[in-house]
Amino acid sequence: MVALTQNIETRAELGQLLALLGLDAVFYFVVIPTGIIDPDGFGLDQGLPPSFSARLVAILAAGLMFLRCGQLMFLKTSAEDAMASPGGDAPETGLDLDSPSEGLPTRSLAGMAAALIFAFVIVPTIGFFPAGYVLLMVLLRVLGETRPVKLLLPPAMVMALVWVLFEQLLSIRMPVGMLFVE
Amino acid sequence: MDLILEGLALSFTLESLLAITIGVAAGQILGAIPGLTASMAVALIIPYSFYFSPWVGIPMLLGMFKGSFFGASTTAILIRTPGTPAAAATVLDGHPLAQQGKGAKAMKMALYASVFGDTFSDICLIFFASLLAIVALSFGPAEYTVLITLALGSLGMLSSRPAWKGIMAMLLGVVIGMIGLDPITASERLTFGNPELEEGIGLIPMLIGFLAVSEVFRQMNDKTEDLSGDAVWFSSKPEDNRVSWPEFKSCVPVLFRSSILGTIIGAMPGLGATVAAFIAYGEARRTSKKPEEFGKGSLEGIAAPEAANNAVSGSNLIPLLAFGIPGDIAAALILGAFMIQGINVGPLAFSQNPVPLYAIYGALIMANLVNLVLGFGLVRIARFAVKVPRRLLLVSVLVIASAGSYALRGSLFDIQLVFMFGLLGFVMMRFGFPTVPLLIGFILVPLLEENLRTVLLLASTYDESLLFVFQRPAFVTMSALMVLGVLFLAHRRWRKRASPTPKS
Repeated sequence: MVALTQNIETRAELGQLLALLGLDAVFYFVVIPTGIIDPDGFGLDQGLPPSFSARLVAILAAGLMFLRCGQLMFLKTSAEDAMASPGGDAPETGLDLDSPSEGLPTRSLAGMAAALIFAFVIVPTIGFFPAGYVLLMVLLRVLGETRPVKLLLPPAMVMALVWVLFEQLLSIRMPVGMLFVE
Repeated sequence: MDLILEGLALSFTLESLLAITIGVAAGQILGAIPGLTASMAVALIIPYSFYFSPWVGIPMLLGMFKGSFFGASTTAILIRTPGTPAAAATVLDGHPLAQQGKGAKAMKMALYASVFGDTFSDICLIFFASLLAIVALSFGPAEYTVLITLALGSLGMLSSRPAWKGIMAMLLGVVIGMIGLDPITASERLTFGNPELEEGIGLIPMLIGFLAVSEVFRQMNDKTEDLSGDAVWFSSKPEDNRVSWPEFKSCVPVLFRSSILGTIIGAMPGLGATVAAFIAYGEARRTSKKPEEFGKGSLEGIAAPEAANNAVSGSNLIPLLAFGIPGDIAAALILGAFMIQGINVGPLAFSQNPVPLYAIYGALIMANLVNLVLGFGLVRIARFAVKVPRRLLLVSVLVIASAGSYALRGSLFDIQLVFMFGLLGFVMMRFGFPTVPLLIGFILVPLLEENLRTVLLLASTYDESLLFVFQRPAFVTMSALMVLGVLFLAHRRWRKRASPTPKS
């Protein structure tokens, strides 16, 4: 059973590695040539060309991933084993801050969708304060609040606090939105 | 001696004390707001400081500068949202401790460490300003390159298992850090014609997005009954709400080491409190007797970054006072305030008119004491402030964080970045990639790249030979230390492998 679990974990990790290797290749062969234009005739005597660092990062990433693939396929079968190459001291750190979780995170996905619509659509249209009020109400509802008073009043208080702090005390003018631009 | 007393008399007045109290209180509150940095806090108060006499305005400014560092830690600990980038490393152990109901203990440890680091660096400033400034100014691009490489290497150990994921996250941070103008040729890199990207990605949206917003998205999926409870719970046991003397004593070596690191880093132009905090954290973990507790609520893990980032606040005044050269933006703002108030700093000030310098020293020490006293008040207020339903706090963090990210540059794009980074951070967490190495890579790599390429440019003037760096004593010393450190680690690792009995 343990061996089966480890096998699944190894396969999952190999899948991640292959996907990332593909992304790395796209970065190296497509993104860097189109996103960084080296000046003509730029040589080592003027320092390194602008694309050098990006290429170095892509090569390092690819090398690291090939190493890990090789390790998973030929040396160790357990994905639980920490790799013995760069950063092999990692198990000592105990820094498992961001552990993956199980299941489809529906509420998180709904929250993210609401937040992205807030940032890209609602704030530019109606301004920060009305948009913030709407976002707070929507997210409270997503998180299980059903009482109308609790849906309407606390968001108004939060937005009032933000308004006093940023607009009044710090004199920072928040976005007003294209509908309200004079 | 008369001059010292004359200077101290200027800063130890009732008006000065009141000004420091107001400054520290305002700094602690502003610092706790995500997006408002210490520099921004100082910039906000400068216009008001001119309405007062110099020895009211300047102490207020210095108090605000110091207060903002501790204020930033409270939100980092309680809601995993660092008020300023310098408090980002405090999240690593402060927040896990808060999740165990020991938020008050974590905040008090952060307060003690902050005041310790502050006072340590102020004493260094008072006694060794000119000496430290000479050492700091002997650092050129070659030394910076070695120092940052050392930092990246040691901080790479922060990665979670398997290690390749941490390193990949760091490399992604490096790529994000490259967006903007090339440091040498000023040609655009990875901007794809978007003018918003020419300035590069701001640190504030990165920190808020990856640390706070992604965490909010993650917690949104918790059970509904958990979300309707208190945002942060506090244990009722007295020992969970205070730092005992043995606990503090066990952190003293870390406090000293981190304060020394912060003082040295603060005296070097361009590195700053965020870098100091991460380096001190990595060093504390490396040298700790209980490294396995790091990331799970270690008091040493709170003490190290807090002492280091506060130590920067005193020592970054060293090049300012000794040479009139500001080491970072906050120091430049303070210099501006000095100039407008008619206070001269620099080598001549020490010999011709040192009284204002002694007054500044007095104000700095006073600000530390006030910071300690008011800090206890902030801990109480913070405990009360987070007694709101968790779901309300979670969604409020999103709105306040987006307002804070907008405040720095006045750019709607930064609000959008915050949520995009939050999304990316959430996806990374789901697949087991840590976000902290990404931030470290982002913070350190622009400095590394700029210095490395400057070294190569300099090499081209020395008959294209890189050997010129070995003519620099500072470089040779640092390189030797780095090699010795690597050899020591390799030896320790080899001994651990050779040892047949595992540690209990």
